[in-house]
Amino acid sequence: MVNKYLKAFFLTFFLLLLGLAVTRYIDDSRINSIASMIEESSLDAQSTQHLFLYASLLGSDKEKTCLALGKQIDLQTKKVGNALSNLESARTQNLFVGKDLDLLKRKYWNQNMEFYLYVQKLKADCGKTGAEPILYFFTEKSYNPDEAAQAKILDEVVRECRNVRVFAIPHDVGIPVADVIVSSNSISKYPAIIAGGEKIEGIASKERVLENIQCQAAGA
Amino acid sequence: MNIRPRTIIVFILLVASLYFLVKALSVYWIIVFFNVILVFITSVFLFAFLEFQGREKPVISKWPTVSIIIPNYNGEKTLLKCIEAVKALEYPLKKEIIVVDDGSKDSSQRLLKGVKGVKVVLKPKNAGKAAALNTGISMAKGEIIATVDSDTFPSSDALVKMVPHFNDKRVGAVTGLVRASNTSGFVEKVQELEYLVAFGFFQSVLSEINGVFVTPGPMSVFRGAVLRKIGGFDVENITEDMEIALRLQRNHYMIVACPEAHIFTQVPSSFRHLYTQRLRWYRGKFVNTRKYSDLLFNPDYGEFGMFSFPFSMIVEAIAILLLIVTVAANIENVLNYFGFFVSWVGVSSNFFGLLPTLSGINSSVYFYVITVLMYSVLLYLSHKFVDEDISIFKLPQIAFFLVVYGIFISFVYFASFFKEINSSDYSW
Repeated sequence: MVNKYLKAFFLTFFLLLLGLAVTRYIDDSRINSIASMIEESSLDAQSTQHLFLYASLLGSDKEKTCLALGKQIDLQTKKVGNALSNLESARTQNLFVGKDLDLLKRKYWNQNMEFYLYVQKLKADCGKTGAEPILYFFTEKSYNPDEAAQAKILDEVVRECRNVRVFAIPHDVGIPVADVIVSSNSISKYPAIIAGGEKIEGIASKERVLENIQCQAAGA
Repeated sequence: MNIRPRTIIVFILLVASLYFLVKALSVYWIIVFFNVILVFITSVFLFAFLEFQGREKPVISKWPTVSIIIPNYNGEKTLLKCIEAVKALEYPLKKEIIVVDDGSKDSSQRLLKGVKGVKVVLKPKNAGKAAALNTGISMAKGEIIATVDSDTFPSSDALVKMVPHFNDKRVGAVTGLVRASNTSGFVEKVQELEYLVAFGFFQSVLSEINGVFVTPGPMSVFRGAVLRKIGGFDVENITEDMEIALRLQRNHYMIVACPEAHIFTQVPSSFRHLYTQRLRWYRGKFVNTRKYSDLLFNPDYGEFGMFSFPFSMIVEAIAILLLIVTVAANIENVLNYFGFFVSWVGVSSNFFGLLPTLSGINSSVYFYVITVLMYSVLLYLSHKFVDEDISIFKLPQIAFFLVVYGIFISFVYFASFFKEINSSDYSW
């Protein structure tokens, strides 16, 4: 006859396995949903690339092409914004935190950089863009309280200005384009933002940020 | 409060070592580990409960004489009601009732002058409950000695249900099912649930494996000869009810639980009062564990030494560690928030920006859910001891008991541990 301690051990072991299986399933579902979001953005990015390619090779009606590009980029940047908050949530909510999360983050930043460059190209090719881009450099590998405050200020700016898009890029994870922008702008202090063509190093108040951009008030 | 250097050192060492553990393993895996241990302990009790169903009630051949000692200190509000309840206890022989007033400053001594049918001892100076009980023991003539707190009202059939267990010569003490007599307030209702689980379910299962380690103060019944042989109650101990039980175990006497005997006692009505009470209980537990540490993991004491006594300490350690782990895991977050606060105040006057963003719930909470579900089963089984159903009106206190109360108890264990290290004064 199996004694109660052995029965308790088997029951505990079974419940542990069940718990691990359930949490693994939930964690994987969370990661998969974010991966789908980022994959969808990749497909949108491909569509944007095709539009730019078409515009440069075959596009005769520049106005129509610019309109299509503007809409496409606007849609993309809205989608990409959600992925970061989901990634940060997954880091705290997931029991199983592996390399998948880091790879997804890397993909997200690359996409962010890509969309920023698309906005700049749209501006260069079409002379205007519906979006007012703010490039925001922060430190990924260590905590900087100024960056935490700056991120919140930029959230406020985005809430107030419906046309503003913030492209958050870490300066310390080896994204080549980011490294080039940092060095060409001689950025040495973080947080740093490039808004309206101007560089602002260190924490910037909302008023300071608004001075450098063309804000279209939300609800207007 | 006077905080000694050793308390600060122990706290820092614990937080520091757990900080590094949390960094290495993540706090959530530590929480999973703790929950696994709690699930194992709960499972043992559940299987033990299932094994011992249908136990036959003991039959007594000859009823022994009984003395009932009621120690009292400033119990004017409940003393007379307690005496009436004790007088009403059914018993085939005449009971000897001894009330020992331990230097009360209220009107207890005046009230006792008008009481008939009991022996009264009026001590001029307060010397503590254990000393009052020992005074009663020295006067008691009964073969069986029951101790009843002056704020306790045993049900009329409690004694006739408890005494037959002494038919087994190995039995040194018998305990009943302690219940809350005052259940109008929410705090009281929560304790009613706690007592059903602790003194109903857990005490009964522990009794079956001879693992009981406390003879509850509200009412317990002892074999008089054994009580005298082992020297009565320890007057230096703040939880003499636990100390005497451990002494009985050390001397290889059995302690039997009789959940059919319902003992109603006054419970704290506020969390503040409850906190003070539990500080004393848990500090007493630390003191007694140190005193009887030779019993821990000692095979000479069977399942008591190898399971029930050590695992009760492990559960306490988990309660303390869980709080310290939470502190250790969040130190960086708190420091980071302080840094953010300073930065934010420097650039913005928007107060709402200071509110931290709520992070989502970690998946490890599902393991906590498993523990809560198992405890729900215990709660359900505990209600069987009192033939009560779990009504929908009990849901608020049940939800509180299952989900939140453990955090409060963990905090009290945590505070007790450090007060004990600090050698702080005891308060009642």
